[in-house]
Amino acid sequence: MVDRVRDSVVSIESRGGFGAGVVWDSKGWIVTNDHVVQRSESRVTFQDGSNEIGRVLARDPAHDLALVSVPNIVGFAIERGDARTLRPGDALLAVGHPLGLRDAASFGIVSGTGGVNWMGRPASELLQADLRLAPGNSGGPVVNASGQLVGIASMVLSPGIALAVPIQIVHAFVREVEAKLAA
Amino acid sequence: MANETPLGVLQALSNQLADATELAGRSVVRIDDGTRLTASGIIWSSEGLIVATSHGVEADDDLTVELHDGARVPARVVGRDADTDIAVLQVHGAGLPAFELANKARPGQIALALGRPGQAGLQVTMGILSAVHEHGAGELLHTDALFYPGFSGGALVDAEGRLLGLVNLMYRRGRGVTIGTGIVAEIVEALSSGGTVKRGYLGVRAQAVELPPVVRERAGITQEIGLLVSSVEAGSAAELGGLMLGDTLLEVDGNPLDDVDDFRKTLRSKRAGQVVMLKVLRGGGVAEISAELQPQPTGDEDGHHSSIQHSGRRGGRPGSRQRR
Repeated sequence: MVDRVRDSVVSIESRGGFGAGVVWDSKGWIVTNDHVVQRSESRVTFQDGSNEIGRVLARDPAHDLALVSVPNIVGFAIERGDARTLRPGDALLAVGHPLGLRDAASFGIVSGTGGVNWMGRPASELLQADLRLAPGNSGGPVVNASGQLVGIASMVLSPGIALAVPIQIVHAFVREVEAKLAA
Repeated sequence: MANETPLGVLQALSNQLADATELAGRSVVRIDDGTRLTASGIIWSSEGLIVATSHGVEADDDLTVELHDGARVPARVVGRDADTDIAVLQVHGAGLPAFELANKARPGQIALALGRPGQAGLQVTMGILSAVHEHGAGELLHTDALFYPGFSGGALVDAEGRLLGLVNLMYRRGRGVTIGTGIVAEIVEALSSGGTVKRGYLGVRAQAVELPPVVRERAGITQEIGLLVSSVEAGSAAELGGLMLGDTLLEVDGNPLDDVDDFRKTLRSKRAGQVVMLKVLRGGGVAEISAELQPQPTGDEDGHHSSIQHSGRRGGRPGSRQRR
């Protein structure tokens, strides 16, 4: 399953940022964190080692999301799941490049869906997990026990308290971008 | 792209962990003691006994316990035990969802840690049981599951949601540990009947001393350090058992004694009425003595005193000899 997820994981380097990204669809769109791509252009490296220059299509700083477009996609679009059906205790996997270690998988569980502030920070609409993530996981996929994308790894409040942007927010962001481009 | 099997092993595990969390979460409560920080607690009995950490519950009265469904019920502390940092609370109500106890704790088994910190609702983390240490009437458990701030008083449960123990982040100088259900049960039994935990009391003062080679040779022992008895309390378990001034303690219940603190801990983990077997060096030979421990004198339940006291230098070891 991790192999399957990895096919959809890229690494993204841009000046001032390094992280992971997820191949969202076959038209060359990659989802990552806004804080990973601080410049408009970045280097996107695929599983086979090939790389392309990616261009930031749109940003959603409030949710720490960005869409990056590359001319050619290597790998598959990730299978999408539903974060709203997750229960505390459900298994999660994150794949990213923690501390530069390529495509490392971490295993954890949904640690809470309390829906209120966590230590003073508004975590209400974020997915909270006990995944042990590190810099380099940012922008990478968090998948459920079936390997389906449920969130984008976004921040670590403290070791073992990871927050991910749930997939429904990613959907809304991508739809918004599509609508803007069509207009 | 989809899984070939209808329900993969990881999905089955995921469901099981979420089911266990849901079940166990019903027995984890939030305790509001009127201070800014709330504490977690676990429902021990359906008749309303709640167990928490003593350090997490500052007041004894006018407490509020919030159940899993958000219901708030008044509670009060019925007893505290300083040594295990356990507080037992009583809420008025019957039919509360009490924890089912887990079978024997085994290192390597999956463990979930649950708490209700602050306003965050039920929180859960996962790991395995890393170690299980015998301690007094039960066990202390160690897990690699993370304890979030506010998990003190929460539960460590197995993959079926059954209780393994009480989580405590502040136990003995801030090392997160889980107090096994055997210890919790004993404390709850003592405290809920309005009593206190009767720790065993021997009634001696002792000091670690080096045993000279000639002494060891004559007695036929290899142990290099013993505990020299420097006073025996009149009427104490030690005196009744026949321990005398000038005896050197070598073993308790077959375990070598070379440190006053270790001896103190061993005795604290025992209860009044229990018999300890002491091996002592007396008059050049080795003697066996049995002593039935007495309850600790009143005023000694606050943890400042114990059944054995240092005489002389603290630290309990002579010279600069360092072992272990």
